[in-house]
Amino acid sequence: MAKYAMVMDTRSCIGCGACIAACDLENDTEWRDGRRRTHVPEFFFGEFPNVTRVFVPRLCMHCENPPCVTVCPTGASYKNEDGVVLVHHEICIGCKYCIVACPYLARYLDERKGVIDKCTFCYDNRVLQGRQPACVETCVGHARIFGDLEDPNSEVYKLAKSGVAVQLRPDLLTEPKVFYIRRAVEE
Amino acid sequence: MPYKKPLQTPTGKVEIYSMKLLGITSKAGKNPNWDPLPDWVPPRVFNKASGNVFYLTYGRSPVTSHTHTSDNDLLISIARKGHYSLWINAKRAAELGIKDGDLVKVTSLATGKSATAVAFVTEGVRPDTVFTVSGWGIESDRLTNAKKVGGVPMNRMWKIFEDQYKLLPNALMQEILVRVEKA
Repeated sequence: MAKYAMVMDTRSCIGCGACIAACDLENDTEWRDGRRRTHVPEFFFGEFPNVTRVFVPRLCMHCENPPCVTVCPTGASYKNEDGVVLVHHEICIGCKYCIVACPYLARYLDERKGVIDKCTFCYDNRVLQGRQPACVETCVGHARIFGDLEDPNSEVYKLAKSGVAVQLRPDLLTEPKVFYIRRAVEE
Repeated sequence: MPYKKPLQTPTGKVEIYSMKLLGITSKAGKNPNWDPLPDWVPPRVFNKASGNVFYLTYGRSPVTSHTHTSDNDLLISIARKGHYSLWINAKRAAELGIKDGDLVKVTSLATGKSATAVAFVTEGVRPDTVFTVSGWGIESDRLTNAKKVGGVPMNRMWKIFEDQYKLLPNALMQEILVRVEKA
């Protein structure tokens, strides 16, 4: 039993996209058509010459109260014992209800298989073997930090509990387990 | 001790006054480009950008390494808008009526040749400067993936000026004036 979580350090993300490429190859997503599990959008703040460019790595938030699981009519979406939100591809009928319900735009329809696909934290293919998710292992800036939120010695525990890393839209009460360290921007 | 050994220069020391360049000066004549004591040379295009004329600077995309990886479709798919477009300052773009994503025509004042590029309107570039990533391979039909995306092909934009021919190995590729118009 664990409670897997990720911390995104937007101060050290350089926007190289290595995590996207690693995820696509590890998990065989439909990247040729732009359907993939993780994205790194960029934002510019301020006016020249005081400009800050911020990259915000995005993926499934693996919420403690996942709205996608609540709405699923077949029970294909579920949260497993380690707190990872997954989809049973055998049961999923591809109705896209969960895509609409997810406030973090984490899900997409895999058109080859006709089922919903999403980030799994590489649960079956890496985490169960004691390895880190592909995006975390390849990150050059140590901007993605993966760990167990119930282990007081882990880096994610310290960052999340100290308030350095914060959740996105905590007002939705979904309790996301992906945390973000803010980068100071020019006002 | 290494520091007690003389360097392999005529004086045996670190030279800031180059005898080699002095020899060239005596043969080819005095020129700030090969001054024996390194000198600041005003850029050829200094203070000449105004209106729709910009300085063109170029750089590298973090997802490609020259032509070596330019045709890799996975790398192209993770490239950002800014990696394959012409960066133009938001205020100057508004003056010229250029919107983000518009096609623009870039004409080099040095060579007279032109290319089309996609405008990336941003605050992240100087008002008098446009920036691009050199468009590796976008003119080759054999590079089937790279053909779709476009920066500005730098080979059309720069030339070696005649007074540089004698000595300089570099083409001063960051000293180019371009005219930017809506295509």
